[in-house]
Amino acid sequence: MKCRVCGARASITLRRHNASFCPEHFNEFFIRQVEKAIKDYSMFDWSDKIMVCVSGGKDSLVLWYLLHKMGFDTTGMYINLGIGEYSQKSHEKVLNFAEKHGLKSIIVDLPEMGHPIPLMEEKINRQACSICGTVKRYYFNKAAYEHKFDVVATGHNLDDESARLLGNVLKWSPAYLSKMDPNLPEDGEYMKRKVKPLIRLTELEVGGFAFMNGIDYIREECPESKGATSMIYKDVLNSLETEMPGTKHYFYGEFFKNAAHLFRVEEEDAPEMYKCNVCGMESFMETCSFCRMLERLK
Amino acid sequence: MITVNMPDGKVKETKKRRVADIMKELGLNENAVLVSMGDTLLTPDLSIEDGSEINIISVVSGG
Repeated sequence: MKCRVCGARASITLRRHNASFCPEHFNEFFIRQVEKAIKDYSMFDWSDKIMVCVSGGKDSLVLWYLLHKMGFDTTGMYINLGIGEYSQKSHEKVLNFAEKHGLKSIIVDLPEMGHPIPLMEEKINRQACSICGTVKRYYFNKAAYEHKFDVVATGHNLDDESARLLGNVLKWSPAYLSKMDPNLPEDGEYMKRKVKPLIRLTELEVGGFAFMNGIDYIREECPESKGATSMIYKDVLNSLETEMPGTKHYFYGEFFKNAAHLFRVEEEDAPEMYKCNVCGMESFMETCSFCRMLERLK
Repeated sequence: MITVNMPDGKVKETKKRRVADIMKELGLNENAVLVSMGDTLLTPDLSIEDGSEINIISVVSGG
């Protein structure tokens, strides 16, 4: 295959775009997709202070790398989950990355705070991924609020979001379908705007960008994520994509054109919010779900 | 023979030469993996020389 732009030998083929690219022109293509997502969804501008949630994986490090290269004011936020060797390695990747590129970071260390994920899983009768989701959301919101960020950016890509959409459609879950937008506005006093600038790019494209730009990320998967349903949805979508290139993009994009409005929650229908009586963060109940989990560790 | 380093650390061998054929033989989805040789990514249409060593990089993450 030859690069669509310059005719040199291609390094990557994108069947959904009916195109192949050399590294130089793939980088240009990739950056254009991120710029378009930021612009089309009005995610942020040059005046915004952006907190990038990083895990040490390819998506979040690629996002941090790109937003920094594009000149945005970014700080990485990493949570050490305390999941053995996996967390040690991912922590190292984030620290090395930040040092190499001279970037600011915020680190939350769950083992130091006395509640690593494996301990919470042992004491609370819930799946590790579900506990981890609650813990991450809590600390991301808290850090964004306390450090006065304008926007929280995550590395979710088209594969992540089309798999999540498929899962939510299969369950016809209105509460979750109402939160599919790649730009979720601020909510109340504590929840900052949440954006997903890699939404126009697939995992293959993000992986290709990481490889071609020498971004050193953790390749191992979290050992707690084995058998996660999101992987089943991704597998199904990848099979469809092979037979019908562009399926993920179409499935995700057409949802916003044709169906998202059906699940929109009007302000007057939004549930009443409280201030958590333990930590003071915003909550749907008198005590937030995170503090209720910590209570159960005692 | 082509040596294939799999994402889980296992090493496989194949007589196939074309990247797309190797992926098919190993049951790999073209949207789920990248194939590299040294510091270069390989597109599925490429044929590689006998005795070469390639790496399969999984790009699927989740949880």
